[in-house]
Amino acid sequence: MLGVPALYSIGYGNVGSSIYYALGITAVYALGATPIALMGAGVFFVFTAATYAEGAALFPEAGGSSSFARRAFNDLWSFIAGWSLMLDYMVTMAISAVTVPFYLAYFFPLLKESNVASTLVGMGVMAFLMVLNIVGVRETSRFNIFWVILDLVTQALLVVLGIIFLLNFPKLLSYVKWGGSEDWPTLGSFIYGISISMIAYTGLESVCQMAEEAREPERMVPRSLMWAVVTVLIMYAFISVIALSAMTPAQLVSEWSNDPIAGIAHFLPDVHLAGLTISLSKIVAPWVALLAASILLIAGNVGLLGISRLAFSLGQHQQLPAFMVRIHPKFRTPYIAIIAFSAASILLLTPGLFAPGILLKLGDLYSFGAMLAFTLAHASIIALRVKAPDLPRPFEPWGNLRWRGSRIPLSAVLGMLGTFAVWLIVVVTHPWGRTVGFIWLAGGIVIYIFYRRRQGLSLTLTVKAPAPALVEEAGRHGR
Amino acid sequence: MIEASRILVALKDPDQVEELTALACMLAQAGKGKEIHALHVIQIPRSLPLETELTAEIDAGEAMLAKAQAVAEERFDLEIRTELLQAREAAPAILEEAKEKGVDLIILGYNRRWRFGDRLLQATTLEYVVRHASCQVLLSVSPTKGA
Repeated sequence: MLGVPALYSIGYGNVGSSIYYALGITAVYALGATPIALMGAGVFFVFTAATYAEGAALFPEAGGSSSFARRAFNDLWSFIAGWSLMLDYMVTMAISAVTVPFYLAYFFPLLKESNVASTLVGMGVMAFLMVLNIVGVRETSRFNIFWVILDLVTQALLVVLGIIFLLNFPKLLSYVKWGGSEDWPTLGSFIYGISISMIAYTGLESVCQMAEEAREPERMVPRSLMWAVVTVLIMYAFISVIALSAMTPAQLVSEWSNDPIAGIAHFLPDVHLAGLTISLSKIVAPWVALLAASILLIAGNVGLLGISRLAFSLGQHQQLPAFMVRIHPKFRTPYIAIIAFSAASILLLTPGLFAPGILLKLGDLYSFGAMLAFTLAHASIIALRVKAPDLPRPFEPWGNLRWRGSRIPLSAVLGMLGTFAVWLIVVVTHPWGRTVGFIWLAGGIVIYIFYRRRQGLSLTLTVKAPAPALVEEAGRHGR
Repeated sequence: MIEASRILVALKDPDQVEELTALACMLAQAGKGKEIHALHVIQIPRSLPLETELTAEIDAGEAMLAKAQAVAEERFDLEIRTELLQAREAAPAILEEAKEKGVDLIILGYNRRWRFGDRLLQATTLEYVVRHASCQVLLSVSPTKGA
């Protein structure tokens, strides 16, 4: 069973890994106001984490917001939440995989110069993760804790070195120019920046997925979530400020948007100590490159594990065709789901073969799926407070509103309004995210309706197929 | 002589069920043994929810536990309690079960005839149990081929 350290490491390992790409993506639109945009998105992240903490403590099972929506509304809304989450998992996998080559460019500069080369390597990383997960390599929770500690120590070291050698408040203030400039965004661009900066907080769902195997989930999950939230916000605040002290927004956007943390390492100065000249950049930069590549690989893997479990959970509730969650006779893993979603992630990377800027497209798409899933999660928690006020709730966020005798969590109300507003912004202003997002959503709903009708089931009814039925075939061939 | 009042025997390899169960029963009879627990842990891959029911693994686990019960009853006239668990990793599950049942001896098997990869996993589990157990651990090693 997992305790707080393991759950925290899963949470931080995922959310914290997004700093390796989110900073650059946000800076493209928010420029010198990137720290403000990240903290603005961080407010919604705190509300959403509070909602997930209440939901995961209430229902410690795989499924996250899809599970909450099933209990609060019906199977159709649960499917929409689950299907949106799947999009997020795929985007997280794709974005993590394609960021690996950007950091490895320290050793192989071609990966930074050619979008074809970096995209091909990203696709290769995804294919590698697919094979690894079909075979079902067993990594332990101790392995994850080790990497997260290493990541935290490295990020903390960068913050300390950055504060000592790079932090420059006059430079940061010099970017501020209301109305927009080369270094400061217009209001529209800033709002766009906030909406895309939601990519900074990928991975929240992963902790909820682990709730089912947590020791005392009602206590451990909220605690580890809150610790992860606090750490992530502190790191984002410092690292974004240090990045913009080290380089101008224009430099960050043009040269380091794909590997912003490598940019910080690059600008660390030489230190003269006891007659010796030590190049901090030459020591820290290769380490950051290797660590970022490893952490992103792990984050991509966790995304694949998450989507496999979510697919299985939807399959158990007859929301996805049973063949999708068939288990491999030898390796005992849901190989069809793993192959299908890995292939879809690879497909999401294909625009990168034709033009640079793949991270921005993926960021758009992430915001589309995540904001929809988060809105549904908030709405579900509010609905459950009204429909089932007496459910034993091991965790309740601070602050409630009274409405018709029910106690409505303030964080869920604000979170729902905020995430829905961001979703609307994405729909209105992000054409790529809107187009691919709606195609994905429409495709999923068609599959759902077709499958449910074929099974003779209502679209809204909650059903749970007996688990053995899903693995019957595997059972016949297994031994 | 090992003295234990509560014994947990962790079963993994069908070929070792008889030998490990008999060992637990002999130690219980020779000492002041009161309870014997037989445990089989099904390891669920991380790509599946923990509650997934893998029918083939469940059938195999139940067969091992039934065999252990039969050995104890028929050869030693003893009753043993059985438990089938699902976990991500076998070693922590064995230790948690041992703690919950308050056992003072864990018996484990090591099969030298397994393939390299399986032997490696087996060794990792054994090493973890030996390092973290708060009670005695007895390891029974299967003979090599031809021995």
